[in-house]
Amino acid sequence: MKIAEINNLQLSSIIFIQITGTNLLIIPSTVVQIAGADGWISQIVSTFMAPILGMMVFYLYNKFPQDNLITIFVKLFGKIIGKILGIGFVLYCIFSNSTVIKQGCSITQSIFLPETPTLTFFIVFFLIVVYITKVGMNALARTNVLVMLFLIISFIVIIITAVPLLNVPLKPLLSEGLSPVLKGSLPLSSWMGQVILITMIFPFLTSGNKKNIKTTIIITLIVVGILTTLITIITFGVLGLETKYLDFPVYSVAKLIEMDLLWRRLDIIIMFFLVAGVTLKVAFWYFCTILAIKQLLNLDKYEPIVFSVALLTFVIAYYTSNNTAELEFFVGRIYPILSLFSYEFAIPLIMCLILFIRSKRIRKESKELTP
Amino acid sequence: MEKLSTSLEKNFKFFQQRLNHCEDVEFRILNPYKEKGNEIIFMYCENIIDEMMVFESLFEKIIQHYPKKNEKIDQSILKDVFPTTSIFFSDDVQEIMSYLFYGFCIILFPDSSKAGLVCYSKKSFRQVGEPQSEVVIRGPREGFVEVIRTNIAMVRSKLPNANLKVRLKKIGTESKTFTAVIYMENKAPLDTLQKVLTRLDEIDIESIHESGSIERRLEEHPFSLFPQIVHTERPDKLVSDVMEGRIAIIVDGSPHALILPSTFKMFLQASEDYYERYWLGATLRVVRIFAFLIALLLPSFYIGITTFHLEMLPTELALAIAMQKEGTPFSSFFEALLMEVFFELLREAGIRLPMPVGSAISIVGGLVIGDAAIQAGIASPAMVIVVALTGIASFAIPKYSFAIPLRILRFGLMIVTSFLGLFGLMIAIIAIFIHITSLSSFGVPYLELSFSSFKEMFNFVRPSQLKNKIKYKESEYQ
Amino acid sequence: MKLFGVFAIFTVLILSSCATREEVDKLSLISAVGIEKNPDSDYKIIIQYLMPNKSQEPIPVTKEVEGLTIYEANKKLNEFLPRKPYWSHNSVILISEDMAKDGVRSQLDFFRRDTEMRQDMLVAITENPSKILYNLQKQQLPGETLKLIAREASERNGLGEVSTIHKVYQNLFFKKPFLTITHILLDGENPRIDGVSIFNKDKYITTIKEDEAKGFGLLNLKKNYSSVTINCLDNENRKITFELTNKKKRTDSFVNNLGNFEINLSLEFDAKMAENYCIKNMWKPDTIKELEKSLNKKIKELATKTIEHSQKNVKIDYFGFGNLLYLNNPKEWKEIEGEYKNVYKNANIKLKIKTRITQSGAVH
Repeated sequence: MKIAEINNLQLSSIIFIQITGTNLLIIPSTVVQIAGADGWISQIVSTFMAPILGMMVFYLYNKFPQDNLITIFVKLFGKIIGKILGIGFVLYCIFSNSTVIKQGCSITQSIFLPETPTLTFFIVFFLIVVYITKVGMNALARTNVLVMLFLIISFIVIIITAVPLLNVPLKPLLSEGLSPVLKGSLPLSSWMGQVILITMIFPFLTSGNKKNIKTTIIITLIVVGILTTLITIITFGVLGLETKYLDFPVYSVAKLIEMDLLWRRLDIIIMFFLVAGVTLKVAFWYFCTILAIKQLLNLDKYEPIVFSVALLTFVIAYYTSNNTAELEFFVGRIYPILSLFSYEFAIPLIMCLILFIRSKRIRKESKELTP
Repeated sequence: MEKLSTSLEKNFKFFQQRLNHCEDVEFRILNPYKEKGNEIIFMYCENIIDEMMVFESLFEKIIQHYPKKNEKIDQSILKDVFPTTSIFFSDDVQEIMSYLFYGFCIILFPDSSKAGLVCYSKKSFRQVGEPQSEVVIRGPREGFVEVIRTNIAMVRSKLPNANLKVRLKKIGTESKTFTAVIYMENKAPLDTLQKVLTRLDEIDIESIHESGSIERRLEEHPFSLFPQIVHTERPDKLVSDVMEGRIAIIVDGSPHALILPSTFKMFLQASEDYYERYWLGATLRVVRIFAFLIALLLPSFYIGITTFHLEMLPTELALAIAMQKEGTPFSSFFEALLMEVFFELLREAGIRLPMPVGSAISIVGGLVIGDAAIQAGIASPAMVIVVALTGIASFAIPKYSFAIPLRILRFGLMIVTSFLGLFGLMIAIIAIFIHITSLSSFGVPYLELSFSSFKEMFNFVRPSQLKNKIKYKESEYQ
Repeated sequence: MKLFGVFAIFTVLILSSCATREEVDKLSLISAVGIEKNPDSDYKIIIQYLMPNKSQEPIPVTKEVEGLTIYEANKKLNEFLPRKPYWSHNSVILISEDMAKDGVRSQLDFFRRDTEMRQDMLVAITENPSKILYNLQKQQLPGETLKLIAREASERNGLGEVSTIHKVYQNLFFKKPFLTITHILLDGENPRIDGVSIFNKDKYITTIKEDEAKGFGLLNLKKNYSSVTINCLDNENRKITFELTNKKKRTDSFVNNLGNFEINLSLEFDAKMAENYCIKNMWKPDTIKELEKSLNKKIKELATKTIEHSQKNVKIDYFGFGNLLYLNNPKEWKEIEGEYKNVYKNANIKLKIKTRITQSGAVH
């Protein structure tokens, strides 16, 4: 039984929305808070970091094209440690997803319907996510492509129309030295690191050509990196140091765009697509959670657990934080370290090292045998 | 299976009994020498048969070739009478009965369990004319009619090729309607063909009067709002789709042929796109995509902007809308609902009425009532514009069946938007797109975006072969 | 399960209960707002909103409310407005001079914070906002009109940049803030842009007018449309007017060895002959060179006047030279940051101006 088939374009759209879904809106704020005017350098640093993460993911795919992360854990670390790591991964997924949900809800609430109770947004997202998960991965992947298209278009529109508003130069360069720049690249790398999630959908990739998948992953990451860099440059150039005091700086930039022809303000249209991005991002995180649980418990079908796990995730999300300040602090300062030193970077790195050493040993042995 | 007996008398009695009260069936006994046991019996349905021909060619020739007195008459006489015409023999009562009503003349011989069947069918039907539901400016002007034989002939004459296969099936436990499955043997994927044939066999229905009644039973998601099988009245469209490797189904009595598997973009295509110049085709596709979006979204978008996000409009426009809205008693949502319902009523009334009255209705509805609603302060002019634009956009969609889900979904979107604003609208759009992308038609994804699909959508290349589009076997997904 | 879904959808719809929904005809669109100081409470805001009317054009209505903060005053509006005040279409904020002396940032916060608010509102300083607003009542769209006036004054007459709220915040958040805001004067019955108000951080100091304002425009505007009039070469009484079009600006600021702040400014203009009262034909290579020279002199005169004003009279850097130093040489900036006021007072500003007369119009 197969759950889905995903081609390269869909894979790239999944990675794209995975990283940019909610983050693109708040990236400039977090980066400028840490690195000041050098935020864009942090972006470039993390853009160079991202292919490394992508290569690790591809290395795992190369070795285990028919497994997902949970089975890879079991194969590499044995049954007991593997299962423990698997449970940890499920918790990590639920936890990350709940912050994404909280972020998405607070963004949409403050932009679209400030006077509507927060609970409404949770229920709406809950319903749509459960629906998407029930319908299946194929539909999610195909819709992803469409939404990626609109997101890219709308962000390019922001970038182009904001050029005449640029007034603040990106200077001084490295006034505080390199350390804030590197610190600033940390949260960005952690968001890029969410590419690890595609280890859950390895068995569904249909391209067959491993080289294609490698280029897809890396090019997508680089495109995301370039897009976020541009967005940061534009945001800083328009808003200056005020960027760090704004909850959603990109939204503030979008607000300034005037198109006298049709609309006065384009921001709502752009945020319109953002809601789609948030929804699909949450849905994909959730899908991975469900797949991981299914694999851990050896279930035949995942449908029966969809509702209950979603309820759990959304209840956790509802109580994650009381306000955007707490949320932003968590997402920008604590979460990056938490995630990079667990499932996003450290554990994949260990796995890759184990695999590398093993394969070397095998090669050595075979070399010794052959002559 | 009932068989004929060898006794003519028994057979005659049997048929007389079976066809009791079928007063359009005529029995003729030919017995020139008045010999018992040496007569033949003709049986035909007088209204659907060419009686003049029966008398002129059949009766007269048989009398001419009738064996001499005292010689037994048998089936071989037909061979003498019609050396070339196709005649055939059957002993199956069911088959004989059905051929009787397809316009065959049945000839019963003495001491024989086989009856001869000669075709003299003459049904009076509509002439081949321009298709009503798919009008084009450039392209062939012929459309399918209700007779399956004419329809198959039209297809065959466009593709005189042995690879074009026409498989006949009878569907309907009572009606036994002829249904033709048409495909190119070297292009149609075997799996899909097999699936279509088995699904056709599985159809459990008493009678069919229109291809629409089997359409629902062939679809994989019959309860979806979106149609998954394209139907066409145009032979040229059918042939071009068959050339892509698709499978067409023509049902006797229906001018609408079914084409499957169908995808989302086929509903936004008109056959003209490939006949006119490239740029026209490509531009019109874009226009139709906009029409699709406007027909689906415009009223709810208007509600969303005027009741939740007025800051989006330039001040002058916002003021103009506010001025128009001044003094109207209803909320924007209710106003839109009222006008949309009114529009649907008008459209329904216009379709059902005879042509001259129909246009009168549209004049009364469009001009008089629309203007009066504004004058009376029930609706604001901007709302009337929005509703009219939505209506026009839904007419711009080439396939009528595809405009139906838009008409229904529009109301749902309006309700959601009136409660949750553009946020709710976006969520609803995602739900709709998730639903559309989850559909599949015989293993082909209903809507899938890729580089090649963009090229096809904007007419850069001819659509690729169906074989390349089949993504998966449905059975693999539970 | 499906039943639950349907139930949940209806719950959501009822829960949301159209909390944010506002029908257009239940809103009063605010077009312009003035903020004044009030001896009793902290703020007096004068609000001009548009009353849509079915049969005729909307009439602006002006009301005054008082409150501790602007938001409080805004809430008080509901006490006598039949409709909800709707701020998104507000296009002008007029701040009185006494109010601005306390710092404009606190007064603009409400307009910056609210998510529905547009960020292209004009912020302007005036002596008496309520008088201007009452005078504007005859206009159809008072706020929009005032904004257009400000834009024309800036684009066609070179009177400083249009200070939208976004610009104000952009300038406030530079390392060394330098804020200038459009100043409006009530000239008889008509509002007129008469100069540029200058600020120390966000506190109002004074307004520069006429020549000084023109000089400021020449130095600071990106696109420049101001005109400069000089005397004819042969006759002192006859005038010739040039319109300046293109501008190239290069600024160099640094701290020299002696610890003095030094600024090298070089400006390049393209000029177009707009009006000529001279008798002699001026359109000859030699005379054009002469004209360019005297044009340079005139521009330098105007600019120096403004610079002197900023250095000697108010002692405030409203050109953003300090910020420039920070951007290019953050270390040097750190050295002089604390005593910048004194450093700037004695700064050595060198002006280098170059004009090219390129067009003469239809005749020469």
